Amino acid sequence: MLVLTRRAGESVRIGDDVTVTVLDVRGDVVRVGIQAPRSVSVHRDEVYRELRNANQQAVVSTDAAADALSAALRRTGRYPAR
Amino acid sequence: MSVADATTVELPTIEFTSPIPGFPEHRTFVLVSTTDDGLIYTLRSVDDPDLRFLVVPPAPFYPDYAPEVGDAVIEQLASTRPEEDLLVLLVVTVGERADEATANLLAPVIVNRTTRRAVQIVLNEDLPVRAPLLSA
Repeated sequence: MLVLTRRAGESVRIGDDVTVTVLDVRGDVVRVGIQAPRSVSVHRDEVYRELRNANQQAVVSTDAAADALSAALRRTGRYPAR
Repeated sequence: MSVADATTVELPTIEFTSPIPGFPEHRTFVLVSTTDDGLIYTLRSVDDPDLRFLVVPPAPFYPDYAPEVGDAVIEQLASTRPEEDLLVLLVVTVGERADEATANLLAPVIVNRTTRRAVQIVLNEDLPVRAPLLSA
């Protein structure tokens, strides 16, 4: 891992179009500002990991899961077919 | 009378402007209504037919759900009329038992029906990634 020392107000540039700026440091909390193109998604790492896990667990390889879910919906009687 | 050949029927292909977290290689998906009740849709990867997600419209399940879609997302999806263009879909995890299916309320998929661009966004709200879909 590349390690750099930065002060509040200083930045790091990643590639041509991503800039990470240290905004302020208070105790053990660091606030950073990130400038990136819209096509680059920026997430807190723990949120990204949770989302990735959730997406990976959501994958189905056949329509059987849809049929099972549809049957479960019908059993509740709450979701009338349109 | 001609009958459309199933292999040539044009399916609505949607393009993710940023990859779905966990699936950096897959950006193009086909959105199909899987069941005739209009409640469950399948997002199927064009490159890998075995990679599918079940998605649902939030309204029938979570009537109070109203995700705030920011200007950056509207711009990313090239939406000119967000109220009409944008479709919200929730990714469902079925798991072992369909009765215990959950939906991801924190990270909905937003689709622009006009440009057929989509993105999975993370809302800046305290919402569950696994909310029971069929809660009592």
